[in-house]
Amino acid sequence: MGVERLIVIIQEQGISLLQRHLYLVFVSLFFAIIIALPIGILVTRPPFNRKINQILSFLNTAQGVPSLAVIAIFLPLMGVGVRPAIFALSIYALLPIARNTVAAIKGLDADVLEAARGMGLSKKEVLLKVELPLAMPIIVAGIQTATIFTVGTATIAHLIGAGGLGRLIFTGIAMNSPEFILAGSLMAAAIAITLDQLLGLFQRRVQRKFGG
Amino acid sequence: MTELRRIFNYFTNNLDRISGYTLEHLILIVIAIALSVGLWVSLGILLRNNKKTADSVLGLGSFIMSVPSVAIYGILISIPGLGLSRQSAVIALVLYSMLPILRNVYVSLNEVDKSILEAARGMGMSERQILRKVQLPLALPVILAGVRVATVMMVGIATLAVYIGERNLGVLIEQGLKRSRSDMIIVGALLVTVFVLVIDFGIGWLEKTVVPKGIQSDEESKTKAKAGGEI
Amino acid sequence: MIKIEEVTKKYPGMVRPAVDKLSLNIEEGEICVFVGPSGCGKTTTLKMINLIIEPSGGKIFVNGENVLEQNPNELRKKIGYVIQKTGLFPHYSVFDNIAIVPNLLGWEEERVEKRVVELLKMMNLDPDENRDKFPKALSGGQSQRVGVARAMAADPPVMLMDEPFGAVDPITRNQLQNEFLKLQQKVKKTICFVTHDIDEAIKMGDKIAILDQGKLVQFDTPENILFNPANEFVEEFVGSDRSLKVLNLLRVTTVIRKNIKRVKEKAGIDEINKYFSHPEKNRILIENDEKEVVGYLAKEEYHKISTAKGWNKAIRIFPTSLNNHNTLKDAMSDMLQHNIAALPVMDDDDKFMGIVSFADIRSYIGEAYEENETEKDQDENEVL
Repeated sequence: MGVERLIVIIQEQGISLLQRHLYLVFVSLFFAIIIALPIGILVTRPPFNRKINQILSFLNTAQGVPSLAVIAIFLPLMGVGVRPAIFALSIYALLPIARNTVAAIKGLDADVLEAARGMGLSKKEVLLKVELPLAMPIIVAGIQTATIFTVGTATIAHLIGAGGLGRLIFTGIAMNSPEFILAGSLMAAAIAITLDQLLGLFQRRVQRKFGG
Repeated sequence: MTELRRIFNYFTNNLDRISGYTLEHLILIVIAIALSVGLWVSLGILLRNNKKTADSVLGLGSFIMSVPSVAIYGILISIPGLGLSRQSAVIALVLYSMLPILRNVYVSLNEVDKSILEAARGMGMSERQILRKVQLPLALPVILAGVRVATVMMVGIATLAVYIGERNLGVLIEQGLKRSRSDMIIVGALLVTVFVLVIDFGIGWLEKTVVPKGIQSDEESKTKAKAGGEI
Repeated sequence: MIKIEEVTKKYPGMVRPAVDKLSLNIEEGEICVFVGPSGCGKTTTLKMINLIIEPSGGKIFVNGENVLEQNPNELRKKIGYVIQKTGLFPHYSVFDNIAIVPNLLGWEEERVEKRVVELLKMMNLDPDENRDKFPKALSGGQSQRVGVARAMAADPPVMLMDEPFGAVDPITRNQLQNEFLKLQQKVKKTICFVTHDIDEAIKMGDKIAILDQGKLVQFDTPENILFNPANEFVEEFVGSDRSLKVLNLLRVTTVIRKNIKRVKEKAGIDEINKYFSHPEKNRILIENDEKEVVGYLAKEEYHKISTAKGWNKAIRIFPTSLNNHNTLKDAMSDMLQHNIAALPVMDDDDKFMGIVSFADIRSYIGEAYEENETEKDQDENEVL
């Protein structure tokens, strides 16, 4: 096994696969966020809020569905390529974001909300000026979790023809080539850890700002 | 309709294979969870009064957790001596379970009400007795919540271990993808999902059975414990 | 029984010791209350007795033995310990909680069973109803009772109580205090009791140790703390309403009037007239056919209403009764509540002992203060 060969693999194939990987991650996250947030908020309003505990435990359980199953199930439905991969990744990423949104809003201090209503804020104002800012740290934590999941799950997206760093890993396993495996694994790990750290930083900043 | 029939037929025609895969899946999980609980609960107990070390070990855990599972498998099988073996799969699963189990053990042992500990000490219980009779039983619900999270995660990650030589329910998906056989993919996806649900439910039932009566949590503290295990 | 000698506790990084060369002696069978503002070192001192906090210097003897030379766990099994938040084990039933120390000591099952049931009864908790409950099903008062029962389980001669009744509402606290005092008369434990509430100290203590900044300011009987405060600090700490606090200190038995004449409800008017003709006889007790005292007749009211037939309209029926452990404050508050100027006092067997009246309380307090004030004046004269 040669370090030189590893570098060659990264230079020749790694960079473009990394770009594809990041593309999959960011596009999926974008969709996940714009879908999960409204759903999460909607669920905490009447009449859904009466079933909030059931909804939360559904979201928790759904999170347990193996990522391979989620990715694979879109092959018969949508065929191969980038589009089904983004579809699957978005749905998978949606769960932690929606769950944290619901849990965060549900966990807010009822007194604060009552005080806000008592001061004459409309329901919309309470949501925008009180609930969402206070819930923000936990929502961001959900986005952080979703990002890590998505970076990981995107490695499997190769299996339905979407490319990404998974290609290096799976090819390496098939060819019994540690260089390929390590090139893919290390790059995927590096993205995950970098994004995790960055979002962790952001999360703490939000926490400081809003986390009364 | 014909598609549904095809799926159903695939299932009924391959029951033997499927039960073999299920068994393999289960064996892998049981080995990994047994090792994880033994290892991480002991470590949590050892580190319970050592915040500094605990913090850095937990930092390592969340570092591992953020590495994609396929990447962990990839790195492990590149290590000479491990390669495409069950050891690699087990090690990966044990590493992944570190954060949820260790964190819950550490946090829950430290969250036992100070007045209860003081009372225990005041009655002349030794540190060992306090750990065994007070701290661990009181921490049990949160520890089990961590084990539950870890196990559910392992079932999912274990399906990917088919790419490093395991022969479990993931095989159906792997083969299905390779041969573009939607019936196999769907049967595989459904079965691993059911498997996860059964495991999740099973540990939930275990929680209810083994958690001491006096602290069986009302809904609120349970969701809290669970959320604490995942966020 | 408990002897504290020059005990000091100094925490690293603190300028002033938390407890500074404190010495005092607690006699067998006494309740000694440590009281003082927060940070005065009272809890620290208490916790050094069972080595929950290790002293930095000095000696502590319990029953003649230096605690510092003993194994802390063995020592603690011999000392009952009650804390404010009860510290009941939430995963243990009431029974198991009380049985902790007996089980640690390896008692036989039967003996544990007997003891726990006995303790539950002692604490006014129905054993059958409560033994299998878990702490979360108990009210605050019940939890504290179980906490006390647990501390007494192995019948330790010495008990440490750290604000044991601090976390319950005032009515329950009063009730727990009264019950505990009654119990203490039977069990005669040597008790070290911490509170920040001077009223509680006065009520519970045979002796009171007032602490400030880790030092013992005054160690004395409640009477002396009230009537002869050692310095301005004590005076201020006790408060300007000292005379009211005396009410909390004195039991109804100090002003009880016994041997008052009793008559039947249907008694003849001559008998009453004759009795009241004596200038110092102001009240007659009324009893029913079972010879139970049911009310009283006051001379004043009798004269107002007195007609040959209707005198019994002036009878005041007792709406409630006191027991001999009640304080004068209890008595006054009951009287005010029921708008009556006298109440009967019953002994532990619920037998009539005598009555306590508003007028008697007032004159007793007045006299006590007069005596004290003159004494003090004399002292001051001597100094001058």
